[in-house]
Amino acid sequence: MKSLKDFSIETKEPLVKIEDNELVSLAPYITEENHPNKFSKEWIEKYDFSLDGYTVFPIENPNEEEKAQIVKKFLTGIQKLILPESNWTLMKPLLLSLKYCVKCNTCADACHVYIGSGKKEIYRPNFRSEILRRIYKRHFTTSGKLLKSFVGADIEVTYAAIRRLLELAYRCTLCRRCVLQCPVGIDNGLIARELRKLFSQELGMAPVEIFLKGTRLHLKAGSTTGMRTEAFRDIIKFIEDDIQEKTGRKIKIPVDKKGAEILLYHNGGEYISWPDHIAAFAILFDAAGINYTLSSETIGYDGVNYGAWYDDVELARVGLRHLEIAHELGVKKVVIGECGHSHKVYTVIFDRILPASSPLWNIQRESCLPLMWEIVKSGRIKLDPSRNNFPVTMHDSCNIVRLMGIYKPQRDIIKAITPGTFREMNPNGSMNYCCGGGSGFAIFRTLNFPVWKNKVSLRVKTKQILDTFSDVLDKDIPKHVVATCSNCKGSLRDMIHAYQLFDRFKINYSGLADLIVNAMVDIPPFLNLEELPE
Amino acid sequence: MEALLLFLAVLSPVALTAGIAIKFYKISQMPLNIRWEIYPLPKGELEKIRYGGSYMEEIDWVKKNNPRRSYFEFVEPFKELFFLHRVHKFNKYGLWIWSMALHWAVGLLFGTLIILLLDGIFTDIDLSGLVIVPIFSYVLGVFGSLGLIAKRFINKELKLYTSGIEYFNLIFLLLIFFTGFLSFIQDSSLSEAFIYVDGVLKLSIPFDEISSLTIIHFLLVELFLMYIPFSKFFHGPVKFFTFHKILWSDEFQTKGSKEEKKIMQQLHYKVRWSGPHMLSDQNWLENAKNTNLHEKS
Repeated sequence: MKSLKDFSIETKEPLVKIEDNELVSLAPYITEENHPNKFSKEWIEKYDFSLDGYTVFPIENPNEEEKAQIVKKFLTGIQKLILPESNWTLMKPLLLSLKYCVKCNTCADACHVYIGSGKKEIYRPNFRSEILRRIYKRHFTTSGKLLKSFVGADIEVTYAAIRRLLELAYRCTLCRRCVLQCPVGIDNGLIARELRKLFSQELGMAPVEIFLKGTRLHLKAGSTTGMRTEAFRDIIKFIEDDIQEKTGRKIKIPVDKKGAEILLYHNGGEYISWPDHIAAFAILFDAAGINYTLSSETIGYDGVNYGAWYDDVELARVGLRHLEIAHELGVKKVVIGECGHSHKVYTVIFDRILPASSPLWNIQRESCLPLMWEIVKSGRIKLDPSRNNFPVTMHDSCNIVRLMGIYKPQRDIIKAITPGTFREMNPNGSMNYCCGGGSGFAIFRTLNFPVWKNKVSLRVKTKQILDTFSDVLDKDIPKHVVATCSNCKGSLRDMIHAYQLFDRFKINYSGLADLIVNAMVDIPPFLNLEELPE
Repeated sequence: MEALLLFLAVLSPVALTAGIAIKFYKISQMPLNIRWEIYPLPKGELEKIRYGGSYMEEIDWVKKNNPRRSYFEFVEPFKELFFLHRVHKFNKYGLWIWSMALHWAVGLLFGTLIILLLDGIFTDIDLSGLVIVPIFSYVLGVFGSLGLIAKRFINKELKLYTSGIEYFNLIFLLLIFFTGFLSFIQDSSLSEAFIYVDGVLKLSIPFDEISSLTIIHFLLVELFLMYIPFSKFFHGPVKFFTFHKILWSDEFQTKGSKEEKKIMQQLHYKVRWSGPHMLSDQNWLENAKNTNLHEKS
């Protein structure tokens, strides 16, 4: 790219092309052949692939009048982003990030998408920020209006530029690793999210998986999975039967138990994709005598909050209802299960969504990880680390570690329940790489986006896992990756399939609760390392 | 003309101070944002600072008396200020050495102004021995600004993000340090600089005793001081907000606090957004409470 102004060019041709041989190499573990992807001709004619040849938006090309309307609304949206009333939630960090970046590009190599793609310019963390910054300058600052390109106010707002920005807002997983590298504290992850917010809150544009089949479905049907109360109760019954069959234990999973101390919020996707994980929590909490309950209320059995990824109002709606349900049940505390974004929403973000004197704010909101460490540490359940005698590593959820500072409890647990077979990824903790499926990527299934995700976004984490197990890659040695986040598990599932990590190297995965229960001496082994969870 | 130069000399520090104060006030008046911290935080328990932990690693953290402050929060910025440690560690374009030189040069330039002021105020103290400070400033400044101009011009990736104003700012700095350096070559004791600042303090600059070069140098410095609050040079002071007030702000709300009052006020702001699922004419609280579907037709 010669100039950032090229971003506005009206053309169907993608700005960049993703070439397999330019992606970061997975050698020596996996030898890949160059397979150019062929996509449906109908798609190519109907939809817009002008960013990088991929799209998550089945939006048909509008006519000229509609385009002009979109341009107008987009500019109105920027104005609303910088107004205290319409964007009190994040106006300050956004404005500072737009105004004071010194363009040293120290952030560049922090991004797993940028690295994974073979350093394609459009994926540089600062690229999309700079496009927005230049548009903002051109239309909303005196210097930009007077001095134009001299101050960098040189991007023309065309429909093509807006359409590419919409797509580009969904090429960042909002992991915010780049922020840790910025000497000024500029937040490129935040800018990507603010762009998503503008598109959703002003233009009603967001990927179907997080809007129509996300928060909208969550509020309407009760879960982003579409699961309704009756289905939830059936699944709970199924899980109880399954626990009895596998362990011989008859456990009644508490649902809507008034006056329980804790309301446990699981990610709704777990009930459908990984019911064993729900079972693991039930076994663990039952054995430890935890006074908890699940909720069968609409929304109450799905603890996700996709608003975190794209829309403040939707975030507040889902979150408020979650806390109201906790209040109605009379619990003292909401405990968030193994779901990264939900951790951050309820412990960190909701701290300033409600006033401290609100009874809803006063329901304690905590992570499940310290509680699980307390259970393991207390000796209330008998654990045999030799049950987990295989190489284990842990993927740190960005939301839980980098954005919340919960780093140690999960490590203390794994060290206590494995016979010295735990190994860290490098880097880990707050400098970890995103799984590649953050901010909704793990659930996007529209058009050819999943191909891009598998190819580019999951790539760095795949390499990191292979590096971590490089000395035990032999197919006869089962290896295990633990993730304390449902979304991250979705990414692990996708990368294991895309790169055949199980077939080639016998790399499997699970949540942390599953690994703890696998070490419980008075029930049969819980994990089956010889099969993938699905 | 001489009166104008004297006016600028007096005005520039006032404009700098007032400009920074106004900017700080304006930013502090922006709404209280939702918590948006990022770990590791340089505060809290020492052990947690080391590995990037937070009080949220504890059960019942809201009831515990977690250490809220630590001096690391005020030590950490110095790592960036004096060493640019993030640029050193992560920048792949070799900017660190040039950037370090330029940042030190600017710091020493302020040091120079302070020395000159002290010398003018405390006439019985001889500070002429500290002339080494401006010399270092000028040399480092020329070296750093030239290096950064070259880097931004030669490296294709950096060039893509550099617009005229960035070159202007660097050339501006280069001129300041270069004129300073030339005035040192011309007058190795920098006596003219001492005379100039002494004159400013007495509101009577003896222009006939000072060369044009020194006058131009000080004029550029004065313009620089006035330009700082309204330009990208404010990226230094703004770190107080980006780091201390946003990225390192992990304090949870308490009842009756000013934060709570602000949140209550902000929840009554009109949403204004026009998306199909927004109730534009209702406030944030009303929008949040309306969890049923309410899409406009």
